[in-house]
Formats: sequence, C-alpha cells, structure tokens
Amino acid sequence: MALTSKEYYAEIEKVYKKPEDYELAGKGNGYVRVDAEAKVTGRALYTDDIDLPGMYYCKLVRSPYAHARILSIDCSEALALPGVKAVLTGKDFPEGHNLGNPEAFKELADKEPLCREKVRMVGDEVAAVCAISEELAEEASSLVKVEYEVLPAVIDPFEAMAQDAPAVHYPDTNNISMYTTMVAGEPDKAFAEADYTDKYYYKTQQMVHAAIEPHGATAKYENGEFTIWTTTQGAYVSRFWIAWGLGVPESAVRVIKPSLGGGFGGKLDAFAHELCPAKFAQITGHPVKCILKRDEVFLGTRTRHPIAFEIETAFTKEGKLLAKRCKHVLDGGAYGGSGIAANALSLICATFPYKVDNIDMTARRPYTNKPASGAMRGYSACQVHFAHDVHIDEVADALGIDPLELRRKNGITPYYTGPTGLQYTTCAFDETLAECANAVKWAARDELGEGEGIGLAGSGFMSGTGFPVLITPHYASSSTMVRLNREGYATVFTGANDIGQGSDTVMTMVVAEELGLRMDEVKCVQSDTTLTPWDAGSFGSRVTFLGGNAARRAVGDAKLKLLSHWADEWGCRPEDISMKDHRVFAGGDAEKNISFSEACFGYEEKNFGRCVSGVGSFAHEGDKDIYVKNRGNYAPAYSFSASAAKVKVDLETGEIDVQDFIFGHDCGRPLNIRAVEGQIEGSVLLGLGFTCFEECLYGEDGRHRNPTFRDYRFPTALDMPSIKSITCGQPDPEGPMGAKEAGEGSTAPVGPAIGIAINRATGLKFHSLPITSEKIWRALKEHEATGRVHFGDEGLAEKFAAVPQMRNVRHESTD
Amino acid sequence: MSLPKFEYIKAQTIGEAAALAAETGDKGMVMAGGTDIIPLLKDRVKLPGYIIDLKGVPGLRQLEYTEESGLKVGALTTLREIETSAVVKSKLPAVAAAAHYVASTQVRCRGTMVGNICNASPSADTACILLVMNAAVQTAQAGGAGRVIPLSGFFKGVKQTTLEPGELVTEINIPALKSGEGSAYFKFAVRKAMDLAIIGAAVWVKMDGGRIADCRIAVGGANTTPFRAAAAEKQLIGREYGESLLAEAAATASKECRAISDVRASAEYRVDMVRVFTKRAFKEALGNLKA
Repeated sequence: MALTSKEYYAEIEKVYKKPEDYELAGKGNGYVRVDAEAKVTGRALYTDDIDLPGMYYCKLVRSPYAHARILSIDCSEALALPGVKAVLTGKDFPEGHNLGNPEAFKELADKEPLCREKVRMVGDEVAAVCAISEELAEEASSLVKVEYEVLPAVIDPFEAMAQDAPAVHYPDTNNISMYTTMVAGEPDKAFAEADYTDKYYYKTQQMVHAAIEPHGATAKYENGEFTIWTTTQGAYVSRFWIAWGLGVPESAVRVIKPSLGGGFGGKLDAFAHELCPAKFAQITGHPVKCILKRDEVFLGTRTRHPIAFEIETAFTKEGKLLAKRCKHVLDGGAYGGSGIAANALSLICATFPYKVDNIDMTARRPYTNKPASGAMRGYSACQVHFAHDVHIDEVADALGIDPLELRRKNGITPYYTGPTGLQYTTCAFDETLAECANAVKWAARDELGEGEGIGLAGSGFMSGTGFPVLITPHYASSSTMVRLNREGYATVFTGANDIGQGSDTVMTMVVAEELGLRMDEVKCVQSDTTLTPWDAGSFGSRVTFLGGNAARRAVGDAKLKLLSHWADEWGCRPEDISMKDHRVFAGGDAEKNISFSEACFGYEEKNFGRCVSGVGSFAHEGDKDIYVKNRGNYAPAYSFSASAAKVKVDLETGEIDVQDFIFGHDCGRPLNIRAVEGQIEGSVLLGLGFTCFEECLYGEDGRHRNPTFRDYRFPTALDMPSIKSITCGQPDPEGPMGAKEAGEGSTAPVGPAIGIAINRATGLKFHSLPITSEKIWRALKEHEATGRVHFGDEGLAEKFAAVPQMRNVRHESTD
Repeated sequence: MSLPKFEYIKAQTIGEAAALAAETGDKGMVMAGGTDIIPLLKDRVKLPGYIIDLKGVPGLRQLEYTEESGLKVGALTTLREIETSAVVKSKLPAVAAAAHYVASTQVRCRGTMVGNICNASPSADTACILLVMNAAVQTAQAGGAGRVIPLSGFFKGVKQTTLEPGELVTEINIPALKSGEGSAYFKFAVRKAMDLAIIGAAVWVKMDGGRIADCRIAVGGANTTPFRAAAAEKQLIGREYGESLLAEAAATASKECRAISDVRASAEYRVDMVRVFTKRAFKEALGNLKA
C-alpha cells in the first residue's frame, strides 16, 4: 500500500495550530485583504498597466464568417504602412501544435494559434499585425486582405449532430467533440417498480463571464527567454500551452500573472493574444502588447455552455428518489479547451445534492460555429441545478409533497458515498435548506399576494477538484514554499493564482496564523513561473482547499524545523511549543519565551546560517479513471448550498422584482467571513443575470448580435435584491483549517430559486433561461388565451428523439 | 480604446462656436458633455475632423426657475445638476425624474439635457417629458439672431433634428406647472440603470375638477422619434376622467406606435408596454397635480 499524503505529512501536521487557538481564521473582522490599499488607490498593476520601453502593439485579424475556408492572405498592404513592423499568419507557428487546456488530454487540443486553412467562428483569428502604436496596429489589421470561401455554418447544437451537418472539425463524428456516460445501479428496474415517473425538458442559454478586465498580454523576449504578463487564471498551465504553441521548451518561457480583474473561468485557456505578441517580441526585439476590445472578448475567448436537458425520474409515492435518467446536450461552440470537462461535470452535478442510487445518464458536446464554450464559475452546475432543481419542484407538485420536505427527505447526508464513488465528507445540506426556509418565512408562503412567489432550491459542488492538467495522475495540484526571516517576517511563495477572489489574502493568513505573525509580517509572492512553485490554476473551487492546504503544509514544514530545534533546546516536544504575538512559547511555561526573530536566529546559528524554510504540496488523490471512466471520488470535499428567493412579478408587464434573497452555504469553516459573504453576493449577482437578464444572441449566419455591454445586459448594483448570507455546517477535516469552497457552488442554487419563485408567482412553468420580463408577458398572454402552462421546452422532445446513437466518437469517456 | 485623430477647438463665445460649426459643416461636431460623442468616436461610428467644445463658453450653465417663465436649462447644465436641484425636484418633479433616468451617475455628472435631445436618439430619456411640457429650445446661429424651436418641431428622425448647419441650442425653456396641472415620466428598461429605454411614456395633464381640461402624451423608444400620441390625447380632452376612459386612450396610444423589434424587445412587447406605461404615467401625473 503506497504512502498517502496524509501519512507523509503527519509529522508536520502535529505542529499545526489547534482550532481553539485560531486568531485569524474564521474571525469576522480579523483581517483585511492584502491588496486592499493597492486596489482602492488604483495602484495595483494589471496586465494593461505593464508598459515597457520601446513597446509595440499587436492587433489580431479576425474572421467575419462563422465557417469558411481561407483561400489566401495578403499582408503586403499592411506591411507597407509606415510604422508596421511585422505580420503573422498560421504558418508562422509549428503545425500540429494546437492549443487546448488539460495537458493530460493534449490529443484533444483543437485550436490553432492562428487559423491555417479554415475558420470556425466569427472572430476566429487568422492573422496578427505588429506596429509602433495601437492605432497603427488597428489600421494595419484592416489592410490585411483575406480571401474566404464561405462554408455552410452550424449554429444549433442539435442540427450540428445531424447526419448531413457540415463538419466543424472532423468528418463522420456527428460533430460530437465529447461523449460521456454515467451508469450505476439498476435504473431500468427502479423505473419499472416506481409509483411515479416523469420526463421533462429544459434549456439554458449562452452567457459570458463579462469580467471587467478584458483579456490581454504583454510579452518580451530577452536572453533567449520569453516573459509574458497575461490575464490568466493559471500561470503554469498558460506557460505550458504558450511554450507548446511557440514550439519552445517550457524553460524558455516565463509567465507572470499580474493583478487580475476577474476570471470566472474565462481566463483558463491559452489564446492567440498571448502567442502572437510573444512571437512578435522575438521577431522585433521589442516588447509587444495585445489587449482585446470588449467585442473581441465576446467573440474570441470563452462562454458558458448552453445545455439542453431531457430528465426522467422515478419516485415512490412517499417521495423517495429511486432513479434518474437524463440526457444532456452541451453546445460546445467551435473549440474544446477548458470546455472538454463540461460533459463529465454536468453528469456528476446531476448526482447531487439528492441521493440517487440508480442512474443512466449521457452527455454529448457537439461543436457548432459559435464562440467556444468553456469553464465558467459554477462550471456546468449552474445549468444542471437550474434544470434538475426546477424539476424537483414539479415532482413535489405532482406528488403533493411540500417541496422543502421533498428536498430534505432526499438530501445528501454527511459521509454518504454516491453511486459512482463520490465520497462526501461534512455535509450541512439539510441545515442550509432549513435556514433558508426559516429566513424566507416558508411556512407562511400561502399568505403571499397576487404575483408574489417564493422559490427554494438546493445544490452541491466539488471542493478542490484535481482535474488532470498534467499528464501524470501523480502530480501536485498546488505547491507552496515558505521562508522564515530572522528580521522578523516570513515570505510565502504561492503558486495559487489570485484572480480577484482574494487567495493571496488567504495564503498570507494561513502562514500568519501558524507563525503567530501579523498579516503585514507575511510577504506574499505569487503566480510567477520563475519565482513561485507549481500550481494548476484557479478553477474547480480548488484554490482555498488545495492552495490553502499546500500553504499550511509549507509553513508547517518550516515550523516543524524551527520548533524541533527549540524543543531540543528546551527539552520538550515540538508540538508543545506555540507561536503567538510574534513570540515562541515553551509549552506550559508562559515565562519561557523568545521573539520570532530570536527563534529564527537561534536555528540559523545552529545550522551554519541555513534559513528556516518549508515546502508543501496538496493534491486530490486519485487516478485518471476519475476523469476517463467517471468512477471514483472527484474531489476531497463537497460544498452544499440552498437559496430562497421571494419575487413579485408585475402581471401586466412581466417585470420581475426579486424582493428578498436568502443564501445558506456550507463551506466548512469560513476562513475569511467577509470574503465568503462577498463571494455569495457576487454569486447572487451572477445567478440573477443568468436567470433573468443575460443571453448571447446570434443571427442565422452565426453573427453575434449583442457583443457589447450596452446590448448584453448583466444586472447592475441597483438590480440586486437584499441578500442575507447564512454560513452553515462544521469545519471539514480535510479542508485547510476546516474550510471548503465558497466561490463556485454558491452560484448554483440561485437560478432555480429565482426560477421557481417566478413559477410560483405566475402559476406557469418556465423551462428555459433567461426568464425575461418579455417572456413572462408573452407566456401570461398565451396562458390566458390557451391555458398553456409549460414554456421554454418547445420542440425539445423531438430534438432529443433525433439525437444520434454514438459511433466513431473522437473522445469517449465512459464506464 | 483610443480616439481617432481630430482637431479640438475650445470655443470662447457662442458666436465663435456657431461660426465654427457653420464653417466645418459635416466635418465638425459640437460637444458639450461629450457622453454621446466620445463613444461614437471610439467606435469609429463618427470620424469628424473637428470637435467644437462648448465648455469654455461662459453663461451656458444656468438652471433658473421662475413661476412666469418656468425653467431655463443651459447647454452646459448637467443632468446631475437637474436631477439633484431642489427647485426642479419641487417645481417640476417629472423633469428631475427624467434626468435621473439617463445612464449612470457618472455619465450624468458630465452629460447635459441639451446634449440628450440634440443627440436625437429615439429613446432619449428627457425628450418625452420636454415634449409634453411644451418645452422649446433657444438656438444661436452663425450670422443670425437664433430661433425658438418648440420641442414638437425639433426631432426629424433617428439622430436627426431640425437644427440647421451652424445652429446650436443654447438653452431649453420648460414652462412651469400651473394650478391643476401635473406631469410624469416613466422609463421602461431591462435594468434599473445604465440602460436604454425599451419605451418611455410621459404625460402632462390639466384637470378641471374631475374633467380632463387638457392633456399631452408623449412616447419614446417606439418610433424613429419621440412622438405625441395625438389620437389618445383627443380621446381624453374634455372628458370626465375614469379608469375605462384611460384604458381606451392608452390602447389608442399603443396603436399610434410603429415600433420595431431589436435585441432589447420585440415590437409587440413595445406596443403593449406603451399602453401600460401611458396609463401609469397618466395616473402618476394625476397624483402630482399642482395645488
């Protein structure tokens, strides 16, 4: 039996601070963000703030067509413009070095840095120009003449799977980029024996991350090394793909992640706007910057997968969920990248937060000629929990059971193991439901006025996924180094990527807490491939869990060395020594203590000047089967959430007023309560936008109709309801200081809560998002005329009936 | 995003500004707050050779109210000054409300009401209330005395006004509300700020006891220009006020629309919302009658 990491780090964990001694972790106003001053004074440096002497500018040339063959590219006119320094086309990058996301699935990488023969979406990059000013680069980009042969485009994911559909990438694959199945138990038998069975259809739309900071990069090339400052959620993964795309070893590429103005999953992939300035820097010898405009972010980066659902469930008449069958069709857009995880995630999410032992589920991700879908905060969970939890409410009505009771009856309980091997640890799902119901006055919901409704919904999410970004399954997901300085401070070198969520603050806090230092006595060095150790990136609700544990193991390693030295001196055990208020105390003797600096100096004196340092790593242990066969445990812990929304619908206009919103979240011990509340409030904003506001609209030719913040409307602060956040649950034994995730799972119950509240308020059943005022107005009118109740599932039964049986699939993940 | 190259001229007098506007013709654009013009330049929708900035011209920032002549709003008076003015809020609350509906606080701190109507967007938030208040603009002309143009004769089409080349709006005059009169404006949009109206509806009404002595209804966002719903007004004037009469008139107003469908809303929805908000604005105006 191989050694587990828990056993490996057991000695170190002995010197960890005891929870009853925490002074920072879990304390409400114990500390502020380490970057607060830099950000509120505008001094924090973002990628676009990186200005280097002699800098040039890069502009990408994008396809105006959704699907076309490139016949020729003529750059002569652009090159003739004074001030234009160079141009690039697809042939300037090594052939076959396509960009993808997880290194472990490199064979699925499908995006050329610049398109060679074919464009697959409006906005696909075909060339790049480099000039001495942004204006000139822009002008030159319009002078690049590209001759296209326009091909028929596929915009609808179901049409994309049709036998005669044009191939976006690979012929004879029904355009399916990924096919995933998940089966457990005896679903057919359960359906045959059930008192109640049903079949419903749902659909969600394409939305975007809309991070306020657009994507961009600045690159330089000096001494044979590329340095790239870029808007990334994972400096190391970006480094891998940039090096691969350029055809150079990783040792020749340094990636630095400056301050980031939001990621939300949209900055995980590698892009032309990173590779092209790097290549130009090498060609010209000058630093080169490329910052995307907003419409380029809409067209050329990533979106949230629209998903269509067929859901069948089997229940006893008492309301026990016996079995679930479902089919998910995910619109993948033109490329894979971080999007290839979406299928499996969608199926995993469908197995919680309710216990279900018998399942038969499939997911198909067809390519279409639209912007590529990828990871987005609450990855797959927001769509899945909308459909599956609105569905639970329909079941409750059909069975005549209180929807709250139906949820509580089936909800996952602590240390339950799911049918495919998900191992839950702490779980306060029931408490989140009860707290939300209580705060929203669930019991008095019959007393609501006309047009008012209350919706209650639940969800779960993985905390600390180990999605295999590396080829080997035996990798370190997050690594950290800590150095103790005898001048009275410590330095933490964390690979974790702060993307605005505040991970630098958490890593600093973990080290300060363990060493008994103040926050400003811990210096944080972060996400720079030359300075900081390996980290897989900010995704999968993993940063606090994995990075926090790595930081704790690193500081624990240093602490153990320091305390072992003083234990020898003092004749006690290391675990009897405590660190507090910048001092080191011998166990049981309050008089016997020395300062932090003295302690470090004493160690160095004894060890020939060697400084006290520690290294630590944390990964979710498991093998590749989790990702290939969908069997096993996906994450070291799971968070659970419930939401309650009270809405009032104007029955004349369809306007939705979310009057009150309650959020119950089980994130173990909230390490930074204000950060957790901030995550919850941001989640409600995102969920409200998803449910009632946001949608990318396309013409039949694949042209984006609203790629601006004027026409793509996300809610503003004024559209937000009042929010009550309730943290529930107990510290998790595996989490760093007991924490579980709070940033992504918290987005997932918002959609169904608001959707259900609207359904209750109107007496209608909306099955697709977004539920806009106009859609409600239209549905109310139609209901009055025809009595129709269900809206938004039109045509889906026929479309699902025509979904092709799988054959010749390029990548199948199945058990 | 960078601005295209242009010549920037900061005019010192209104006469200079008008002369420059006449001289530069199609190549020039007159700017007050710049909140409509700058985005057009950044997006390269407009590429003027010259920007003639009014901000250096003295005496254009007035916001004066008298019972006799009503409210004078200068060409440089910002929307923020209007919406926060105690006198506007108490004497012409619907005008303050309409100013508040425009964009965001930041934009309103620079943007002007004169600019809002000169931009002549079909969904301009201040246009409807100015129409029903029978407001008029005072212009200055190069080599001329300037004109008074009633709002009803100001809008010609999408982004088009009846101003002549070299003619600038120097102020807007909004008559005061008299006893028995009230007005209201509602903007209907997807979100509560930073948004363009799906439709807007404004009402001015003069009551004589329970009888509607006179009224004006204006609708924005539905047709190419904000327009007066004349048939609906005719239905109401001289009649005793009642819910069913108002419902009929509101339906008439909605029939006067020639709305289009776009990414914000369908034509049918706009038409029905004109009905709803005409009704609501009328009731709001009735609730605000001046004593």
